[in-house]
Amino acid sequence: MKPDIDRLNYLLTRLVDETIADDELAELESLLERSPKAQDHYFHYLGLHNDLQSSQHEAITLPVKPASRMSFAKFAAAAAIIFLGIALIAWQPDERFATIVDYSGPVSWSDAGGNQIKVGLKVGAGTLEGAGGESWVEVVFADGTEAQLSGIGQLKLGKRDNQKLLHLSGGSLSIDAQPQAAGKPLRVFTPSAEAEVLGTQFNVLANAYSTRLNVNEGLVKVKRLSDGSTEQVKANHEITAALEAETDFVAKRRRQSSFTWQSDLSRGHRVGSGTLTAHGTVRAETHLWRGDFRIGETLEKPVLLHTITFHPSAVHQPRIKIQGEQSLVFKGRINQDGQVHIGYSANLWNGGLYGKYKTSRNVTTPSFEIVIPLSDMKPTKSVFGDHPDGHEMIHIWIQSVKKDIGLEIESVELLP
Amino acid sequence: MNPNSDFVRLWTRHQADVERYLFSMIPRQADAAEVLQDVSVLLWKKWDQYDADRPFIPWAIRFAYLEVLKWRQKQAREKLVFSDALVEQLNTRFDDHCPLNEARTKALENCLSKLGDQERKWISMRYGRHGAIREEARKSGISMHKLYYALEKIRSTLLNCVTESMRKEGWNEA
Repeated sequence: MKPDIDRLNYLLTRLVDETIADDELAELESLLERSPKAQDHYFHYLGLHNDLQSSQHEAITLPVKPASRMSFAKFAAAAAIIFLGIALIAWQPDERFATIVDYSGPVSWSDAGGNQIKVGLKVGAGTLEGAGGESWVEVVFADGTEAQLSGIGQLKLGKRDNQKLLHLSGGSLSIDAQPQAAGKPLRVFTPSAEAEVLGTQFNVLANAYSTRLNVNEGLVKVKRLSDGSTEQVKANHEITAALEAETDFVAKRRRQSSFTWQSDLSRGHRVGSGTLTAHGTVRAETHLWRGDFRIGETLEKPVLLHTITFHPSAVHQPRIKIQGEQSLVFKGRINQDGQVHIGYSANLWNGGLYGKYKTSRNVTTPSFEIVIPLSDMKPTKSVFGDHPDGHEMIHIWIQSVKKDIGLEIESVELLP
Repeated sequence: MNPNSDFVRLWTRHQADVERYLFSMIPRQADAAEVLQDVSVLLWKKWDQYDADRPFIPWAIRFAYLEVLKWRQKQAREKLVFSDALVEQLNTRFDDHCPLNEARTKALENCLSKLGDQERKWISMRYGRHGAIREEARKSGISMHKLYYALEKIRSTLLNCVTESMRKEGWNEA
């Protein structure tokens, strides 16, 4: 139901000015209860009022009521917060321990200092976020340990008592760790596992339910969070830690590779980004992004991305080796004409990002089939190699930019 | 990194979001401000339970909602602004609005700069010093009713301007 905006504005004015009569309040309540649109308008109006209020006053860092109106305990607690705020902000030593050495695609950095991402930015505790399939960012710690985050995901960096702490809430992470001090292993946390590393090269692929970790060099100790069991994973072995404790949690020699791959959405094949529908397709998920996905720069105006990503090398698949002249075939549908951007990322067969590649196509029919030779897809950054022959396919993505064209994918195949 | 400093930083950064939420649940400025105070103290006490892997705002708003309910219980004998059912609906729907608050606030800054001098002055009086609107009415001879009507129009203009700015910038929930 569409509310009468003028009437709603009138009632909301009376509400925020605290002059509303009982019958008007009842009318407002009734309007809000019946209409979600009216509720949206209500939030906007009250938010505006609140912002105007704030804009005319100095920002209150931490609210304290006058002492006479609050208990001593509350006053002491609030006063302590203010003290801590002032003391810690004033005396916090500079804890920058890593540098963002490169990135591409929609990637953001957030920290307490409000720093914006840029190449060469020295960072301390904070969060890196990739918002698109083509997102990629590399961080190097002071001791030379490298971490690369690829695709849609979030990586939180921290350091405590000279120990590096990485929280991966989703996405693909590749780590090349220098030898760490005794008793201070680098620790990687995911929603389903925790890994300790003294010095090694390994890759982690995590989502909300499971984590796959494969080790190229050295030794990694992995704990499955669902039951606390631990396992050591040596070079050329991999392990999957799922939240379901009844699944296998044993390090195994890496599985055979495959040169072909096919999505299996009808059997609930998990996708990185996108919503599985009841009729066995996956619908694009909308993300809001402030970075220019084409050149990796921050935009003042945000961009809407409507993205579906696939992980061909996800937990129960053999690793996908890119070889020769292969093609990606997408079958799907749209509800309006538009351009789709398609890409994939590849890791070096022995770990670490090799590159990301993309192209675009105009789609003009409601049902479509797009065949794209991998050779048609160009590196998203000049430092990436021309063609990742012999390396591992990690992500595949398809998206529309700004315009939501109702993108749904029925299947994706990698054909020889 | 000291966990207390983490709290101070996060609270300083997100206090406005919690304040906005509370005002939506308790649309009376003084009451909302009082509950905000209680929420800040509660969050600090609960800080050791905060999971740093999870976003701060939903965690804070969960406690803010509990404080709203507590405040409503305390007011049981007084007239509450909204029914329990509506407060629950609004609490659920607020989640959809939270991510865009910052963008709306920024858009408002720009929209304020487009107002005329007189309009800006009235906004400043209304939201600045207490009683300034009454004083202006007396000085200028304009009735209070007319001034409040003018403010209603200005807020409506600002609301349209913010919505339009959001739309132009590609935000789809404006």
